[in-house]
Amino acid sequence: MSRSRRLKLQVFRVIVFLVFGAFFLVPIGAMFEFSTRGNTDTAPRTLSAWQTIFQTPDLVAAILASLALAVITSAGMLVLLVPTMIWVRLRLPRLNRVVEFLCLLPLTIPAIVLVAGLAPEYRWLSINVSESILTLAFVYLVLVLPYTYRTLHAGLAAIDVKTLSEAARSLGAGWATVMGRIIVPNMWSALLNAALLSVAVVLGEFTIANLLNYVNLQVAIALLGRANAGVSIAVAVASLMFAFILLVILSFFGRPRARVAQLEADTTLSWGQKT
Amino acid sequence: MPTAVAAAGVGTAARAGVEVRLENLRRRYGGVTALDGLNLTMAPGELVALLGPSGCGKTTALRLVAGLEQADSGRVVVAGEDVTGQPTNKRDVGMVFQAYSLFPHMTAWQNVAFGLQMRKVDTARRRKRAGDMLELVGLSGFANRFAHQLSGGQQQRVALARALAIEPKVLLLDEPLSALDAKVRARLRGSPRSS
Repeated sequence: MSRSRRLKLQVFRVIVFLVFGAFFLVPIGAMFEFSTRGNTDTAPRTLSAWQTIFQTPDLVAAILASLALAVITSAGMLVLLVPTMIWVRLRLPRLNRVVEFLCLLPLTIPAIVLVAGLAPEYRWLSINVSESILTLAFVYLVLVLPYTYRTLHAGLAAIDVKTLSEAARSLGAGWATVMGRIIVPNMWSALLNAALLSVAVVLGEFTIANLLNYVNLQVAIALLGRANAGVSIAVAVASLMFAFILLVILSFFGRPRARVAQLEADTTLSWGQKT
Repeated sequence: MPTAVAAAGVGTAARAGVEVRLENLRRRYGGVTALDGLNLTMAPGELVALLGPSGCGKTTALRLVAGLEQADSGRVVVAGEDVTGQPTNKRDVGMVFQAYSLFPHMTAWQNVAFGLQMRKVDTARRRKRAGDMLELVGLSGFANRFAHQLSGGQQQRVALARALAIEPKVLLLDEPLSALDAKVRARLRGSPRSS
């Protein structure tokens, strides 16, 4: 590649990076700016809205509930979906389409319709089992299926599941070992991405919680917005930043092995050519 | 052009071979008959090659011996024991596959040691045995490399070492060299026998 072409490509990359960076950061910056305004136009900047977050017990409870829901939903999704998808791929390939259809179905059902169907179930649940907001994990598990199915499907498609499992089985491994020690470690990034998507969906969910009269993070933000717009915007910025930080942390989880592998690959080159 | 699959009721260095008997094996896939009453007896220690055109049922026969598929009828008898209904992981049959089958997240050494770990062999013996097997296939200097850092021929040699490490009663080789280029294939052709 010629030097001028490389330079042009570099400039193009920087421009794209800046445009997308502005697209994401300008609204967040504007929200932050709004959340630090004083009560009047001439009042100095203040962080009182941010301080109020921790002094509002209902808000803290809603944040903790949403975080707990995110963890439960992610864990439930992985426990339910990963073995099912591996099993279907290996033993019941004819059911592949059925499982795909079932997992993608929630995408086509509007939340309001879902709630109309779920309301009687949740009424029964709140009377006979528990009124806890954590029972929302059941419906959130259904909500995240389409997104996580696609991610896990791509992860499984990237490895030769059949041959690897047959090799492991012929070496004496049982099905649990095949899944836990052979398949799962090779789709680690797909698992992390699926978990991240679940967390993002749960933290951003408003409609179902609101219609079923539960107060999760988004409902709390909406309620607070009516009384104190500054605090509600501060919480919205905080939740966005939280999701962003989580994304960065999770993306670093998958990296160490890749870096080690790269280092070893570099060393390999110095040892000599492959035969 | 006929393709070849080698199957062997082998004896490894540490173990005498066993007799393998396929009795009237039948297997159909939908409307296609892959095996129609296959009868074959392999003597202990014997090295047997199944030759035939593509689709004639060579791989199916091996997969039935390994337990990776179930026969519609017939029996697989290994060392006098009917193993037809036994799951793969209980059969004590080693197999080298046509496709590259090394576990990508493990090093060559870990791949070879995996079967021993499944058999609960203690760490010291596992380490020695895996080392010996890698040396046998001429790859002791490659123990810490991952599959993607090995060439196709090296990967298949590690797969052979992995299958041999567990000292199986029967060793099955399903066209292990077919994915390699002609030059490497010619060089490796003797290695299963010498191992």
